[in-house]
Amino acid sequence: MRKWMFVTMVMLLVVSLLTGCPKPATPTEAPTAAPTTAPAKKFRVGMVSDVGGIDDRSFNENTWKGVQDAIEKLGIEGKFLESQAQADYETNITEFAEQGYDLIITVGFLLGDATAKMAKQYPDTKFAIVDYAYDPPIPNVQGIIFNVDEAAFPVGYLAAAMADKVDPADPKVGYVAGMQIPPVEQFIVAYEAGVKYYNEKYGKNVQFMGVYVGDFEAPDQGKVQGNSLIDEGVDVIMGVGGKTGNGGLAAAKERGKLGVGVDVDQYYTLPNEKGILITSTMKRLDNAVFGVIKNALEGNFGGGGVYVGTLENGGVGLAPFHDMEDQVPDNIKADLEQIQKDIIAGKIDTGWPPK
Amino acid sequence: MSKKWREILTREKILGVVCMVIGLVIITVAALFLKSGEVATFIDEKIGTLFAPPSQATLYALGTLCFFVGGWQLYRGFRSTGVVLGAVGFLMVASFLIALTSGKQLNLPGLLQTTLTSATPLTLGALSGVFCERAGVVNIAIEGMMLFGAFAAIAASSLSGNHWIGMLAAILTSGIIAVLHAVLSITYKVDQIISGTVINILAAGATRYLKLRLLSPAGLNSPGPIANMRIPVLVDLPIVGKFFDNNPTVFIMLVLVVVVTFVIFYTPWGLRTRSVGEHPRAADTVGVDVIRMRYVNVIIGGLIAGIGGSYFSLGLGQFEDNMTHGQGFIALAAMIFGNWTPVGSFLAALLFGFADAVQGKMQSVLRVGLPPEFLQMAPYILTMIVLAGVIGRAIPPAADGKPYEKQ
Repeated sequence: MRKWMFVTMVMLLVVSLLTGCPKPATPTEAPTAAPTTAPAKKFRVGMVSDVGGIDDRSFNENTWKGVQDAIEKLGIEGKFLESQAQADYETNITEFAEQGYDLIITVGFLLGDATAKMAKQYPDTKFAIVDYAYDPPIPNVQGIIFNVDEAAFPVGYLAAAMADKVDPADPKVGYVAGMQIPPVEQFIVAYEAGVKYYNEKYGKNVQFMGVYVGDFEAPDQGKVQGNSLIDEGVDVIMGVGGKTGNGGLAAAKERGKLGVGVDVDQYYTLPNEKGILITSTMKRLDNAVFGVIKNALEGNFGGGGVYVGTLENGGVGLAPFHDMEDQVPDNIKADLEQIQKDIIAGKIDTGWPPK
Repeated sequence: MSKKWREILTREKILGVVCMVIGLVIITVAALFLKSGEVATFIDEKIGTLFAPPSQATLYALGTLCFFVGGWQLYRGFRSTGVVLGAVGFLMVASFLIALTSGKQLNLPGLLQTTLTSATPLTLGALSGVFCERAGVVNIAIEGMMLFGAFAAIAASSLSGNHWIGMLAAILTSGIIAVLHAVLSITYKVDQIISGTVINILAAGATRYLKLRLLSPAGLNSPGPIANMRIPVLVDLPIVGKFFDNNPTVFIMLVLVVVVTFVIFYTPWGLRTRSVGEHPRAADTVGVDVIRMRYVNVIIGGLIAGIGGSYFSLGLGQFEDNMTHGQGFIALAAMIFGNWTPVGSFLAALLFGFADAVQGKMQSVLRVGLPPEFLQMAPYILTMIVLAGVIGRAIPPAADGKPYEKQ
């Protein structure tokens, strides 16, 4: 009896799998009907987010904003699929590829392997990936990377100046970061270089320290480690890495310390903590993604190449001081202008990539 | 041959040998890695230096002590192995901290504070598990219950403007989810692991959906974090004062550890609960309503998980997807490590919290080159060792996970 049930179940499963499979795009399928009903097929863009969700108030959300801008201004069609776990990356990419999307944007360094694999499997589909540049390049993938170190360096300098201002006896700058992967390290290394630059210029000894929590989705742990840093006398907390970093900023707010945001202007995304933010190190993902979509739509897809966001082209930058406008000393503001000019001119080494 | 060996090498003897080896390791580390002139400075942010022992000499002393404790255990044996384990554990941790801090300074009360805070959600999750599993129902749905609780806490806080109402909502919501677990696993005898897994998946999806469609669009996702609770008088004490200015959940957790211990081990209710988890048929013959006992205990477990859930969201002041990030499962590990007792679970959670706290300090002030992942692994390796029966043995309630069928 049970054996029969088992056999029936297996058969049902096989049948459902067969019928449920995405239809292969064979040219024999209804070739006459399609052109008449759809006169101009819309350019379709699919975005696969990293874990953390489309509304992470950070890089997934910002990338999606770029796609939305393109939907509005360029009349394309756009959709996103969220990855709930790293195991979802390939499934989500396959989903879009099988549906014949023209351009698939994957968001984040951690999707690097999955994107490379899928790009080889679907050579006719265009891909773009945020925070990754392949070496050697893959012809149907455009990398989107940011020289965030160019923006992080002056922010580190600013954080050091503010720590020195609020606690001249023992100034310390701290960071609460997510995983220790290159796009995160890029911030940290340049922050540290910026702090050192301040120390050299004014003959101070602002210290720099911090914690990689090892998780982008652990605001509670971020807050705990933020508090732990403040116990050691840290005056400014720099959140780097999704919700974990936001937890660090929550600790700074609770203990009356200053904070620095990341990726987007977090003044607008963290209603509870906005008052303590000196600035945010911004990565203009929305601009970059919009540009990539526009080029692809116009037939200038930069496959095999890399878009690099820099201080010079506005791909990275510092957010306004907002509530801290009056707190930041004028000479520091002037220094920041000069530092940015020097970085663009190549006169300052941001410390990234590490030698 | 092997039988003879087993007679000579009792667990007590092995423990003695292990302690002696640990003592030798401490001395060797001190001789090889520490410089003779260095001191380890332990500070407090308000009063400055607390104490600053010369690191190498102190380690020699601690290592020797550890060696002799082990020797005595091997030669004569202490009355309680628990005391030996505790003493050697303390010596090990103290040596470890002094070795790391050698030539640097560390905020010791801060470290302990971080430990306690990190341990809070784990302990609450573990207490939830203790109630369920002592009554014979495996609960791997703690993660999902906490996530639902975290969500409800924010929604209710935003609507009412009061964080305590938020916490109450979290408790009730988790309780309702626990009813679901109870119905599935007790009445319908669904495999308890499956029932728990289903609830975890449901929690991840449902809270995410509700946040995206209801909470965020309605502007209900930023009530701000709950204010710290300050215990008057005690908060002004030097050094330990900071423990009394803390997230309210921390105090609730501490009270619950005591209350749950009392309820489970010193009340008729607790006795019935344990009997239902150990031998439900025997309990049934003496007139204990097994089904009712299991229902109520699972629901109590759910209510406690709700408090744990509110810690995550009310501490941050907003709800984030999957913000319990697997802590419910680590709470289960703490419960097993703690041998299904409230105090044991609390101590295990403190150990896990301590590992988190120390690895943070290792990265920031202590600047140890060792990858932090190694220390992050330590509690779980210990849990596995316990499960394998090397240090101690984890003995679950005999009828844990088995549905009861009345005959």
